[in-house]
Amino acid sequence: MSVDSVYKYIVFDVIRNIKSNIKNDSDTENVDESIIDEIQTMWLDRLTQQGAISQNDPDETTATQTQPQQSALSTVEHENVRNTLNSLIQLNNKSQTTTTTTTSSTFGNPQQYLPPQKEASNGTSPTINSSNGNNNSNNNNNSNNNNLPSSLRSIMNPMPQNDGTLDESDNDDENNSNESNNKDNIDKLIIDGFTKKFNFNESEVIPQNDGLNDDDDLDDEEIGGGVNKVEEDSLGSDLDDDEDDDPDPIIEHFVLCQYEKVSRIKNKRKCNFKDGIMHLNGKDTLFNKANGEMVWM
Amino acid sequence: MANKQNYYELYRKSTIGEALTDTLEELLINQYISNSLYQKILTQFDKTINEALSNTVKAKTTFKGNLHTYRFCDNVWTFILDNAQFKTEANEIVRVDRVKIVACDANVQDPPPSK
Repeated sequence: MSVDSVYKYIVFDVIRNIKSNIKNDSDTENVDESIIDEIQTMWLDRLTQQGAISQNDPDETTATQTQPQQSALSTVEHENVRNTLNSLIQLNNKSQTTTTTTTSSTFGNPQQYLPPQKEASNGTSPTINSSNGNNNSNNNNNSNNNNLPSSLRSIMNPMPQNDGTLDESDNDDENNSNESNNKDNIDKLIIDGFTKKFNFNESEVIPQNDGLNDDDDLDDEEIGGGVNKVEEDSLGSDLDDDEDDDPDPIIEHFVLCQYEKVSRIKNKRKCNFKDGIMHLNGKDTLFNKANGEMVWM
Repeated sequence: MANKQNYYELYRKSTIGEALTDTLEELLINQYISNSLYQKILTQFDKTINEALSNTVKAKTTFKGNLHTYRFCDNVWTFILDNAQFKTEANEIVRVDRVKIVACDANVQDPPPSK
């Protein structure tokens, strides 16, 4: 089985089991199945974005080949998810027993809106019902996204945002270029003013920036700083090296597995692993068994 | 509920596990799901992925590398390999400059609840 199909099997198996189990538990018996469906959608979306799995629907695959269509598609998808979640909130606010019968019809809707999503991918405006009347589909996207509460937006847009804030940032850029020019000028004026007003000697200005290190600075100068400064630098760099040597925080390649046997002969370790997930060079690989030799240098 | 067997939570750190936990955490923070459902789904994920890996995956791999760090703590081996080389059955070779290996004990699928 390919990684792709194993991952999809895992997703569908988890979702299927959860759906069949939630009703048996008093803690979760009121959970609506639609939220489980949403979890599945979001989970698969994330995996697709990370390139761990390919997309199910060939239509979707072709639709995502061009950038603008992709953004239109995702916007509609996000709107569907948002509608579902919003109606979930409303239902949760009402009494739960009376609403359970009506939920199925209400929650079917987002899926039924999928056909317009396909039309949207043909290059027409993604929000057909939108009354904004903007010619530019990007503007429509922006207005839709901006209507979302920020918390929801973070849910709906696991993808890097490629449409929403562009307009603002464009404006900002124009403003910024002017402002930054002004700021530079102002900074220069202030610095000029200070240097003229106080007319520092270089020896006074350079060593004393903070006051507390007064003695140290004097010592450095007295002992003819060169050697001491090198030592200080090497101390600092030693600390940095230690942090670099601690490889735990940032290792992009990893293997998660179970060991059956780990043995050592002199400086060589032999390992028998099983049931592993490897993530190497951005690609996932699975193994049932793995044997390895590791040399301690 | 029926199956009280414990499964390793190790794989929650994998790509597919992170995709699920990120999704669930966002839903939890925004109160679309309860904490008990959150836990339930992750527990189910542990069970499913442990079984899927041992039952559906057949691939074999060999690897070698220079040991940079090793650690054996709480029955978990952690290795960090430099200049590691992984070879699949199809003789496909993948080289990475540094890789971290985390391995739980395969012989204790039922970790004692004492700790």
